[in-house]
Amino acid sequence: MRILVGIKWVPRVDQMKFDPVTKTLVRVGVESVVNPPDLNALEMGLQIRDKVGGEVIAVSMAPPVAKEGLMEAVSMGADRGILLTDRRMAGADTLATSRVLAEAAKKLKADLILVGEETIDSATGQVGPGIAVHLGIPFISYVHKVLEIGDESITVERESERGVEVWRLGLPALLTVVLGANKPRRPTIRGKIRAKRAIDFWSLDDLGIDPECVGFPGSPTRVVDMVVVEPPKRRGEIFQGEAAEAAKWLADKILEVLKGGL
Amino acid sequence: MVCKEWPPVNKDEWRGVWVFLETWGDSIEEASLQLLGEGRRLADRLEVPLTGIIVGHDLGDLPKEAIYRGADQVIVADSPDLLTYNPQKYSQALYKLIVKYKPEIVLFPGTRRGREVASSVAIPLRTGLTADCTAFDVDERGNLIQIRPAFGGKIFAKIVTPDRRPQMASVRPNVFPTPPRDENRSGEVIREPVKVDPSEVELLEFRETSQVEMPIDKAKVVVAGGYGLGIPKGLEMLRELARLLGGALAGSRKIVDLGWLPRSRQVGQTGKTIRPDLYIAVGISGTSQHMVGVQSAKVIVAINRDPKAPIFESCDYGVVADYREVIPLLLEELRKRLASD
Ligand SMILES: Cc1cc2nc3c(=O)[nH]c(=O)nc-3n(C[C@H](O)[C@H](O)[C@H](O)COP(=O)(O)OP(=O)(O)OC[C@H]3O[C@@H](n4cnc5c(N)ncnc54)[C@H](O)[C@@H]3O)c2cc1C
Ligand SMILES: Cc1cc2nc3c(=O)[nH]c(=O)nc-3n(C[C@H](O)[C@H](O)[C@H](O)COP(=O)(O)OP(=O)(O)OC[C@H]3O[C@@H](n4cnc5c(N)ncnc54)[C@H](O)[C@@H]3O)c2cc1C
Repeated sequence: MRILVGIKWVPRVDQMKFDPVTKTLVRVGVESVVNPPDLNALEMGLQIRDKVGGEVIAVSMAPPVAKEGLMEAVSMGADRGILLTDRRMAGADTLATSRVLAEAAKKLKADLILVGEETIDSATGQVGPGIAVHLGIPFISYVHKVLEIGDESITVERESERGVEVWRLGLPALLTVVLGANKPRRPTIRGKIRAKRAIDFWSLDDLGIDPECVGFPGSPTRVVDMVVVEPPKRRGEIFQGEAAEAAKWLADKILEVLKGGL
Repeated sequence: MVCKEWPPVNKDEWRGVWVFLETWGDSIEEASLQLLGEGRRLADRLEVPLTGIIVGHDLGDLPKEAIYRGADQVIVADSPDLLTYNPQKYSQALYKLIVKYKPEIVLFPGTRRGREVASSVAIPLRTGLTADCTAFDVDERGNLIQIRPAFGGKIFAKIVTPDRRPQMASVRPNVFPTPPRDENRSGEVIREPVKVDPSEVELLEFRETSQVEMPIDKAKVVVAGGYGLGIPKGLEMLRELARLLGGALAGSRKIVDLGWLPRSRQVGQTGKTIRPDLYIAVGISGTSQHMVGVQSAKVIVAINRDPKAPIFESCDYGVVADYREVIPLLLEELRKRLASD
């Protein structure tokens, strides 16, 4: 079984702080990480491979720095990584992103594609379904468990707003995997050494897609403006002290709020 | 040059606002009804009709509900194959009707199913889809301005789809109020028989989770617990606090993932957006993915034993303490004072 895992290298948005003086978001010094649920997708892929055999390939469409994310995936156990990188891919929205990833999946003849439920930066959750529809294969989102996997089909469980659903998909198929679906394994030293030589770079020419269909020209949406949100001004009164005093203080505040006084 | 894979679009041919209505059993989901309210406003602004679109079969009087909530007409994509939800079949049916009727705007509820259908339909149409919008406007050329948060709510992006149609967007539940129901409104219900291909994805089983307690998006007071509770039993104290204050019990994603509370009680980016008068967060660290769901709460109270927890940077009142010590005392204090009032 050939399993593809989508890895997005994202900024740690928690570290972005609002600067009240300049009214901007301070982005210097913000680290990047593999988008958290992508690690759950990877772990799911590794478990399937370890059970039925085959290969796990981590794929990312991103500038060259994202190689680090793919190396992390390999150090955790992915067999190799492919970075789809080309200046012409820049400025992509989810249509153009999924177009490129779908082409890579086609070229690699993937049997199963796993991606995270959504990212922590732009959080659309649209890339996974987009890849599947481009390829004309079935998908289901928000999966937390694989119940059964065979040569022809995979049976999975997911939660919707109203309950738990069990779905069977014919292979090849795509799943989006939720954060917390499993416990991602740790990178190993051996994996880290291997990772250095396990990443390939593919350009648009390797994929053979018309440049008009990717990146900025291949994206129907336009971000016309970005406004930094000034965090709502909150009182920020913090009580530190003895528990009985704290309880009295807090009860005062709560009751005042309930009376509509605050 | 335009991508040759894109079907050509003559923008003048695309007219009207559509709302994709998600149904469960014999009702329309609240998040979809809310979109009818906002859709009505946009349709009036553009001076075009508002259409509710339902995919399903054997719906009885259900489509009329959309008229009562503001739609001018309802189109039902109808086939026995569409009796239960299937992402491939539903999006295929919807795609066919979009191509036939050519609406300029299609709005989707940002629920799990709504997002699946929206993401699927956008691809063959080769059009833009803006996720989780919180406000809409119309520019001087009649384009839909879509405003959405990103980076865990730290920025707002203004997004347009200038050259493609329809302009598609999803909206999370509770962003817009539910419009009033008016049985005096009338409108046409159009049944559109559609043929859909067999699907390679099949629902084998559905286990409904019961929802008996007060929903968190309706409560004026919400008491929420996080991983800092240590054990599920820690929630008992919070349930009592919620009961005392006439509120509802909620949780962070971490404890919902652990199964301590049902998914319907999760607050945050991938959970619910709520705007209670009072939000009490206990043992919750306060990451942006959590706080984005309570940004509009009037007052936020935090109890956390770590003075450096990020939640103390975005609360009104904070207590640095072990919840196991302070909550029992708080309950006692509140009981005493509520009794004497
Ligand atoms: C502020 C802002 C707002 C935006 N809003 C929108 C919008 O509303 N609609 C829109 O179409 N575009 C939008 N974009 C563009 C969007 O960020 C990009 O298309 C991005 O490449 C993918 O979107 P996502 O992060 O939402 O992915 P998601 O769909 O949330 O990602 C889900 C999963 O897909 C996989 N994946 C995603 N991207 C990649 C990748 N590059 N390589 C490998 N795997 C990947 C990962 O496994 C990930 O967990 C926005 C961009 C910005 C800066
Ligand atoms: C794509 C994505 C989407 C996400 N969506 C959501 C979402 O919708 N909602 C959400 O909540 N999270 C979401 N998260 C997860 C989020 O990033 C955090 O991991 C999560 O909110 C942390 O939960 P927590 O605060 O309960 O736990 P922790 O971060 O572990 O915090 C526990 C806190 O409890 C405190 N504590 C410990 N013991 C005690 C005690 N005895 N008394 C008092 N305090 C104590 C600790 O000091 C700590 O601050 C998402 C993450 C990702 C990647």
